[in-house]
Amino acid sequence: MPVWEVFAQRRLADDPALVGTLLAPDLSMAMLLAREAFFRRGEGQNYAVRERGTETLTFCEDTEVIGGVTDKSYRRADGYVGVGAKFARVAAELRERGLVPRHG
Amino acid sequence: MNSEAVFKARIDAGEKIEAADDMPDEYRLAVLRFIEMHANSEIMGALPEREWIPRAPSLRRKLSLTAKVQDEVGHAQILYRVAEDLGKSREQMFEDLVNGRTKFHNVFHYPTKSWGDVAVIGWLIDGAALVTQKALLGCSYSPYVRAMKRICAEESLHLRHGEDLTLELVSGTTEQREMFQDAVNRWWRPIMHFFGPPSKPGKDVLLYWGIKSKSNEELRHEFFTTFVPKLWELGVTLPDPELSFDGETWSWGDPDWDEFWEVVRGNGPMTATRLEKRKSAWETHEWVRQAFIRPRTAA
Repeated sequence: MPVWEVFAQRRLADDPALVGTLLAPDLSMAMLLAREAFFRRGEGQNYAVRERGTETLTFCEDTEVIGGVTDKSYRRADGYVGVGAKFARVAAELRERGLVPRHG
Repeated sequence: MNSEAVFKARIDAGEKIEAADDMPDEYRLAVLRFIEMHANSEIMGALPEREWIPRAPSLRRKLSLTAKVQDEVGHAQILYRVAEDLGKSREQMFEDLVNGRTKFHNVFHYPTKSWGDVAVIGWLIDGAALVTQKALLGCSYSPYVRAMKRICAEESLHLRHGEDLTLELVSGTTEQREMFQDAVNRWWRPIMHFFGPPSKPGKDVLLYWGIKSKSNEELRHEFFTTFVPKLWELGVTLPDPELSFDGETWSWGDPDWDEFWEVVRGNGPMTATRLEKRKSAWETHEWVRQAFIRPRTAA
């Protein structure tokens, strides 16, 4: 099975940057697997694959589906906004409840 | 200088190595074994948490745990791909794993007994992994560094998920607090073991070739500094009466290393069960692999 190199463009103006490789039997599977393996959180405005040893980069045409089309914030950092502040609140509440012994 | 000395000089100068570069056998084998064990640990590490997907306490937790387990399997795939380019097929790596010829991290040989374990794994074990993995971002082998950038980013998210679970438990009912404390009591020693025993004197092959950049002791101390004060701040106790900080260094009670060696040799409480599960999944899904590789014919 051929090896495919996967390239990311964080912004459309960026040069494609190699992010990894994968095995796939053909171009369409390589495009699908690259999207799922490396871009399922939308880690790029576009991406491309190239069969190792060849020169042609094939870019994704339907960039709107990069990162999925449903709300999956639990997969991303924005799904956990506030955890740091929550730590401080919880620690204060536990002190008030008398559940935090002093440590030397 | 001979070619191995030239290669070593390049590594020491901070040069990075790609898959197609010539490399000494000792380097190639050291990197391959290291990455293979990492990949094994990811594919096996998915199993303990997977057990709790059907038992998650809410839909949102079920979704985020499922996404996390998906990430771990994804890490394995990315890492096996990197290892393949160093000269070993993934079929051979898989055979060696399920037949006990290669190892995976000690922590994944233990049972998960409660939702408290899921919180501990998400926060403290992924936290321990992130400490070691951040140190690998300077590795001399570039394909592994590219994989680690992605893996570290995803582990950071897992950490937030684990911290969120922890905060929910420790600020909940007495039963919830006790559940989390019980999990910490059971997992603390395996976490201490995770960083590995004190380094032996003599050549550390991984440090020599720039694969690792920090010793086991340095990484364990970084873990203490990052997590112990936070655990104490939440009123959680740690089952090591010798654990203390004097303002500069941590002291801790040396755990039983015999248990560590027994476990990584394949005699952990869940080793056989989980390897059997891996083997049976591989066999059951053979039809998927066959469908995947079958050449496309024109529609």
